[in-house]
Amino acid sequence: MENIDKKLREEAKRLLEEKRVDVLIGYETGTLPLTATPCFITNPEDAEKLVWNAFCTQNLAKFVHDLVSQHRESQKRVKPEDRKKKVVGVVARGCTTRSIILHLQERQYGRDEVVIIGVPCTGYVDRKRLSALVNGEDIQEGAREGDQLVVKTTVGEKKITIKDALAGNCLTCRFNNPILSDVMIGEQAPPMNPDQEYVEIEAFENLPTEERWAYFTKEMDKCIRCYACRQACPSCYCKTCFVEQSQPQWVGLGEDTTDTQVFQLMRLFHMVGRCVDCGSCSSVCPMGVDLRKFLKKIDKDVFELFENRAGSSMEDAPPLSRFNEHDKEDFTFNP
Amino acid sequence: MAENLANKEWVPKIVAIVCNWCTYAGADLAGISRIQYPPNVRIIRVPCTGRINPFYIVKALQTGADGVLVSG
Repeated sequence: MENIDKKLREEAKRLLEEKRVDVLIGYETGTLPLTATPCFITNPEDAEKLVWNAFCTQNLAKFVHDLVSQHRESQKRVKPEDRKKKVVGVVARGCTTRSIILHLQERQYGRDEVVIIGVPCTGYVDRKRLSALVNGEDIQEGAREGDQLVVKTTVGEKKITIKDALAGNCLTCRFNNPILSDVMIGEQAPPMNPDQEYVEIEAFENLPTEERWAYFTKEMDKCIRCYACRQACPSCYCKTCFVEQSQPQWVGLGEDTTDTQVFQLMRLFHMVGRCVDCGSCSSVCPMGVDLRKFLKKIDKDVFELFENRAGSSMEDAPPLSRFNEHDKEDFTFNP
Repeated sequence: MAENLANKEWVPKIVAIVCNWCTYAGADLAGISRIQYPPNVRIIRVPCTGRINPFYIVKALQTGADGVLVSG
């Protein structure tokens, strides 16, 4: 890991010095123990801040889109001949590159506007799982020793196997190595366990309708509609989200539970063929809503109907933006 | 009102969002031919089924419809 950090910093510094990128998005050590937080680097000396470890959670493709669209917006006020192009560098794991591919396929920015520093990924630690493993005690210090995490809490010291604390989407990840990259740092990471990908979903599908509906309403009751999931999601980039629209107002602003359900349902439907299962939405959710269960179900359906996994290759267009006469249609007759 | 509802057998409220050029014309033809369709179906005519936003369906279900029929 030390080695990867070193190479990453060198590479980042080189890219910034050679002016191949204007800004580099990466992770730096967070303010709390055992955390990492996204950071934006424009000065080559600051490249020393960069880290790459099991606490880097957020999908950085979101920020690539934000920076590019902000820059484009600002360039509208500049004379056409004075307009500048901005190149964004990004430290990307498998799911981040999937999101970037999706952005490229959806014509959000050009391939020349982004420089991808690929890093191998062995999964990230889910903060909620970690917290549960230490019985919710306040974590004061922590360090990684091989496959173990040594966590010092207010009560005592605990050793945790990293695999127990990994996020659900990382455990069954199929694309933990970057699919698309300009520079690759480190060796390819060993595969995770993609065969188990849909085990949880199949179990859920086999439940009777009433139980599935009960699970949905139970999860949605937790939601406080802070929209953190939307803000963190790299596929949610509409300039005006439907929840903020007032003509017509699709979703009421009150605390009506059906409005919350409508918001979540429509966000889920907007993810059809676009969710890369990076787990950013679940990781930022302050109420611990199990969003992944529903997203993964949609992912499974899309794979079964269109044999497509969002952002898995540049050639494979998103299923809902292409037409194929051989697309399955038996659901029309036998829903 | 509540008493009336309690005594009656439950019938689902169905919203039918139909295309002006085919299904609506079909419903119209049924009317001309004096064939009755059940009163628990509420027809909404749209210029084309392509006009339908998925929100129409979700909103119909949210505001009390038991089923939504999209045809056209």
